[in-house]
Amino acid sequence: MTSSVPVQFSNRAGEMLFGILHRPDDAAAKETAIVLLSPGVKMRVAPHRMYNKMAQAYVEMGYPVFRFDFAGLGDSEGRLDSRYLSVIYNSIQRGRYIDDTRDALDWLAETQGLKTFVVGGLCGGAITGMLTAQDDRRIKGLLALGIPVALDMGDENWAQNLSRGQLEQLRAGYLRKLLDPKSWLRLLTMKSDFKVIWKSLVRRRGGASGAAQHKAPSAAAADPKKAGGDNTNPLFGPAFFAMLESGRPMLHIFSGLDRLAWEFEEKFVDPNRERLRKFEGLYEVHTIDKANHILSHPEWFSEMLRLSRNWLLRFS
Amino acid sequence: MSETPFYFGNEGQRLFAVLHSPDSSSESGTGLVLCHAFAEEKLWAHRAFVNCARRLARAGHNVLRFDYRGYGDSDGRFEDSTVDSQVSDTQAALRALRDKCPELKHVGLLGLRFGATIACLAAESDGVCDRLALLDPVTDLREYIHDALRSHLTTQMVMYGKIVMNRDQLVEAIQNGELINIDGYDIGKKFYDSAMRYEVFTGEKSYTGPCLILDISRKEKPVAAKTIAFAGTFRNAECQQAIEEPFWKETKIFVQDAVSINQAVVQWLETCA
Repeated sequence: MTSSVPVQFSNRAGEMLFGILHRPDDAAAKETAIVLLSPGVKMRVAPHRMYNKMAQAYVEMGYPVFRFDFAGLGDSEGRLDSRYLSVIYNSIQRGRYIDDTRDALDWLAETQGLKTFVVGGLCGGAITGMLTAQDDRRIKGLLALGIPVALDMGDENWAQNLSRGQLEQLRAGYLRKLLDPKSWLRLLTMKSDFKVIWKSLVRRRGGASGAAQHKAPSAAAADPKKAGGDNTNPLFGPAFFAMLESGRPMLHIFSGLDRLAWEFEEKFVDPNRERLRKFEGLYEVHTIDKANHILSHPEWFSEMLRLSRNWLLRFS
Repeated sequence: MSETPFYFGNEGQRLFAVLHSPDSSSESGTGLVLCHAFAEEKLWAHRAFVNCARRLARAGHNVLRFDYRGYGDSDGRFEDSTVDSQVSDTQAALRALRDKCPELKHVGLLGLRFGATIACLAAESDGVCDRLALLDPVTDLREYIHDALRSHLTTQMVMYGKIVMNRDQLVEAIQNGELINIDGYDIGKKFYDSAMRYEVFTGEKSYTGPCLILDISRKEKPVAAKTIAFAGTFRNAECQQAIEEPFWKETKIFVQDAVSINQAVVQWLETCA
């Protein structure tokens, strides 16, 4: 009989964090626990209770699973120091929740006797997991769904860093609208985003940001607006390679219609292709065709579960 | 102030709850059960809802937040959740609150959006509930669900490049027993039929206690005529406007505290005392 128990624990700032611990049958329990890290500003269940369903699937495989709310979110204590979602998302990508994640692992080790972990989750949960894993060798693997590579530029700079994939999709959309009178009205009344339309139709060579895309991200790129446009998260590459160089496997699942898939390819894989070659086999990348970011359709979600279960079987 | 998670039972299923208890020195003698919003609106609004409960607890009230069956950390599948099951779960939550806090003199419901609809229906059939706060209530369930189906149309455009089933066809599919997915939530016949059975907007309410109806909008404007009309179906309701971002959906602003809502509810409860 499996169990799910609500728990509370303190983070290093003294804030009470809230979680749910799922334990499998004692006889079947594996020694490695899976920690699902909350996405964005959503709480521990994730969109459409994705994490509840994932937890159930992994518990049935014998894994203890832990889901918890970061400080300032869900049922946990604390407050976020920004009003704007884009600022919050960028702070998560810069490691806002690394400490909370480490504190969660410490709590699991001290109170549940769990010493090794697979971490991950959707979007912000995925990048938090990878950034935490960079320096925490208790983490033996990363399960990443839609991991973001690029920082949010804000609405006023949205068009600046569109990936080739996004431009392709936009172009297809604009061409479909050629026969739509309402779209022409928008165009003629200056309500369309002309910059984006032009970029999508011209499709500059070398990707959306031209030569800049192939530069390694620098410290200055921590603020992409100041760095002249390259919004690649400078922390992404070092964390990714830290996992690989320490021999820790990763599963990366992307959604086919999610810009994050294109950004991963264009902003990380393309510039690092040579270096990644020697690590083939240690990380897997899958793209679920036509899926959206939150895998809302049952077929997409089922495919993600199938891929993650198979990976976990090979992992153990 | 303390916050205690626990499970309570209803119809053989475990429902997850958190009880927010005030400092004993400031107890008001009033307890409230909070009824959350529908589907993904619940997730977007979650933090503001939690902080609403904390604000009410700081004001001396015992507050029980809970997840309906098929939501959050409660048992059950979303597609099995109906208006009737949510009303039943709400009534069970009222019992759970009374069990945990037997000394309460007043027990009420506070609902957000679809949760306000559920709170209204639950108050109608609970003889003891004597406080009712409805935040931006959904008064036309048919219109609300049909509006939600728009998201399915967007998914069709993405998947197929065209609309394969329009809204009427989606409703027909639901009524023929198919599950229609909206942002990851499966809407089925059970839920649809249960929602269509209730006419919340019109008809004199049997709930006779004080009722606060908050019309929530980004900018100051007169309270909507339909809200005033809805208030007129209660014997003892007042309408107010609260200026807030629509925190139950994705906006540029992350609303951690719906300050004007919290203030309005706290002040209204003081006038009820």
